[in-house]
Amino acid sequence: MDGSKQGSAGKNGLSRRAFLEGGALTASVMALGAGLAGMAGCSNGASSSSGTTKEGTPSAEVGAGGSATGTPYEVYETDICIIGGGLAGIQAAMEAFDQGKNVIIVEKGPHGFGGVAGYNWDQFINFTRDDLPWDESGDFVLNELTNKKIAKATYEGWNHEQRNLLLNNSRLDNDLYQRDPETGEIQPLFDLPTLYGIYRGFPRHMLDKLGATGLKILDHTLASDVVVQDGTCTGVMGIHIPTGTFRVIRAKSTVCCTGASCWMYGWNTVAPMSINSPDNTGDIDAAAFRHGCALEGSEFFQNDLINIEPKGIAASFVSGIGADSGCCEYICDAEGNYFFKGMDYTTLNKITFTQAIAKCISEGHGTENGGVYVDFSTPEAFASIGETYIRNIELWKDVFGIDVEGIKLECGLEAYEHGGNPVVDETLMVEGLPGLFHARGGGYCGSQGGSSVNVAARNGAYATKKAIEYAEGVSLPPLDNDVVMAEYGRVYGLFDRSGGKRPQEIRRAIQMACYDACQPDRETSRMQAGIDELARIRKEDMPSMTLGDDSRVYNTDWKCAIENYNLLDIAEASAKAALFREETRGHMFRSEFPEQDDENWLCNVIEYYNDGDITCEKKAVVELDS
Amino acid sequence: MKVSVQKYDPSKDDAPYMREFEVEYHDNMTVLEALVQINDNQEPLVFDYSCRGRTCGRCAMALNGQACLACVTLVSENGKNEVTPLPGFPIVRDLIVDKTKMTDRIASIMVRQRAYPLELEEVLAPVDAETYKKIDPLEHCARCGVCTASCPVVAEIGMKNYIGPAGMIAIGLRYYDPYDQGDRIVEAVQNGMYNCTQCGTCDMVCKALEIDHQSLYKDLRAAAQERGLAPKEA
Ligand SMILES: Cc1cc2nc3c(=O)[nH]c(=O)nc-3n(C[C@H](O)[C@H](O)[C@H](O)COP(=O)(O)OP(=O)(O)OC[C@H]3O[C@@H](n4cnc5c(N)ncnc54)[C@H](O)[C@@H]3O)c2cc1C
Ligand code: FES
Repeated sequence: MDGSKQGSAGKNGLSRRAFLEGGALTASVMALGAGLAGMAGCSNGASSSSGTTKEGTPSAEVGAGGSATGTPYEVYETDICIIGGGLAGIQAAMEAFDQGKNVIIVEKGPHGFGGVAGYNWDQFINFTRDDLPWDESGDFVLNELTNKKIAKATYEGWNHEQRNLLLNNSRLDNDLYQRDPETGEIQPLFDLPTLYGIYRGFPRHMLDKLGATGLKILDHTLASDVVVQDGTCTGVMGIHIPTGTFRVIRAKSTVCCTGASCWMYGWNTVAPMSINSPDNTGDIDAAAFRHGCALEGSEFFQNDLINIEPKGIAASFVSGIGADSGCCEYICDAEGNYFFKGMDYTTLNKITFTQAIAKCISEGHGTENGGVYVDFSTPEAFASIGETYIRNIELWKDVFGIDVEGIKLECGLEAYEHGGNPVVDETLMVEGLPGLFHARGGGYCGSQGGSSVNVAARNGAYATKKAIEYAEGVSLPPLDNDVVMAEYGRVYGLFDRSGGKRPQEIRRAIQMACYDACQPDRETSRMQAGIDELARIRKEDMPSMTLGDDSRVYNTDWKCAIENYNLLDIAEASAKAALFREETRGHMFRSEFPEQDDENWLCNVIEYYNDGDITCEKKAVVELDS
Repeated sequence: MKVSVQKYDPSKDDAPYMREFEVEYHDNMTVLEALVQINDNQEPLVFDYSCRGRTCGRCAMALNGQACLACVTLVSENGKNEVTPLPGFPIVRDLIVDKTKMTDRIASIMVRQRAYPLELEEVLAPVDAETYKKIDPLEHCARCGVCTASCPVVAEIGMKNYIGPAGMIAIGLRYYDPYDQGDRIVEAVQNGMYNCTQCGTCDMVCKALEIDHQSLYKDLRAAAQERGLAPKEA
């Protein structure tokens, strides 16, 4: 690519926005590398057959009392099962398709509309422009807590061309990416040796392309547990939401691509303080956790500043107005102090941006709703609004009659990503559960607190490559009916409760308590109160949680109840890890421990689950030579 | 504030019925906020949403008979608020409909037709600026179905005879797409383009505000005319 071409070039070749965002990237945040495997083959590859369907009848003695008896369940069999058809799942599925494997994709939402990938949004993609070694790439930012072995292996899993997301996503039917409207020239935001980044990647094209492969997609299916036989993962189980049918998908290896568990992060009328999707409730992470696997990185989230009002579109990336480090000069506290002004911008990255705002709020200068203001009263400030938010200015006028130009907008820190995932080995296989691979494995994101589209893509493909290698060496054992019936009994048993709170009420309590412990402004007594509340919910509310609806057809009370177990486990692990880490690092500011403390905390934190008891431990960062 | 909502569970109910709820109003309250409030505090209501910002299309339904996206449509504090499922699609439960008869068709149209995979040089090469300006807005179609559910032609002759505005967006996007090698004009005519009366309803209801359906229809018709594909009477 032509290194002299610069997107939105300013005086020094890069616009101020590009500079700041680039600073953010190189100093420690946004994205890890890209990699799609062998996409060229997907338009002409042989179509792959899918699993077979059998019908079983659960035996009455293990079923959940009367409600379970006689209900048929479906059994599918395949080589590779991919849970979650989002950004990581697309690449995972394409990798298996290219290799001619039998694949089943289990997706909670409607195919094409699930998770973050299901938002048809103006996606920013980035990758390393030049062919650089893994540790010189700017497309993912190694941080002090990253598992270096995984970082190297996943980056090197693909060649330079495969890592080029512009090419690979275009081959998955993405369109023109951003162009100069006058000349039609391609217009990247960054065009540097270490980093190429550009807007206008619309992920739904890739989902269409995935659908066109003919791979079997079981959508509207909530995977609620993995099948574990003899200590090995041999597939996944769950509910087909529109019919309430129990499904068992048997697979030689399973790849978890279920996104970030941000739906636990607070609540504001229709959503948490997160732009992430309600589909992503950490279900399989929690399942692995309950099967004895450790989680890692749970104390870290990735934050962005976005509007709190109007409430119905609070923390909605695709209709909201946000402010990133490119707008920092226009951010002020409740008293009107523009606290970024005069800051050395070379130290400004996404993490220091979040920390500065969290510190301001922590010191009592936040707004009524716990945010800060972005002051759009000057034309320069208004012009600093980021690319993705620009189209929302008209929407605000059209729907709410609000003119963003000239107002002081109250904004809060939303969490778009979360770092908590099962600990994995170098092949992205979950430690302690052979056969289960994880596209966002714990320890990989380090203090960055989660993934980005290029990491999701690359890791999805890499995990699947390794899952295929693993599958080649194993054969499926006969299905253990007891294992199926245990999960069947657990989820259908939810119909047999009475007298307790509805799942929605419990969900809100989990979300508020999680937010108290995990928001960026972390204060020990509030965190402890959040943890105590989560423990109370576990002890008092969950055992009697009662559905308000006894239908098997699209029962959202039931769905919410099943997910609550998972959200609660992940929330409690995250809250406890957040409290455990007694320093300031990543997207958070801990007022009692305001400094980064490398002497004591240059380590990962992992959590274990023991019969409802969650404990934290330090774990050494995996370096290349460890 | 009063909100009435249509409910229906095909495994239990003979027919859909309306339920009325009292909802606590606040400024700028959306239909989605009202529904969540009812479901959280009063009784189970089945509906779907994800993005809260007109990009996933999952919250499409109707307010007072008009198809809309619940996440970006306001309720009226003192007026009528009657919430029903998206018209024209089979009801799965309460406010959830099965849109696959539309979305599956759009997805298969949207798959790019090409003889050989794209190469990097093609991707990096400049494109016609006018083409770019036409494609860019169409990218934002959420396939929510609000336009198709509002289309008087679809209502009268069915999606079989006219695919509806969202389908036309998909055809148009690939028609403009310089990398696509399919015959999208034939596809537009096949999918009932000439049955569209260009009444403009789709432009009125679409929340992807940058999309200008009418100019797309003009371009497609002009191209069909040039190819001699216009019907005799048109
Ligand atoms: C709104 C938003 C915008 C972003 N923009 C950018 C950007 O422009 N550039 C960038 O680099 N990064 C961006 N990020 C970060 C990046 O998009 C995410 O890291 C990325 O989408 C993660 O992909 P994923 O595959 O992990 O998750 P998703 O794409 O959300 O996929 C997860 C999938 O799993 C499914 N699923 C979840 N649970 C289950 C279950 N139990 N059973 C079955 N299926 C299940 C979901 O339905 C979903 O389809 C953004 C994040 C958000 C939230
Ligand atoms: S919730 Fe996505 S369009 Fe309304």
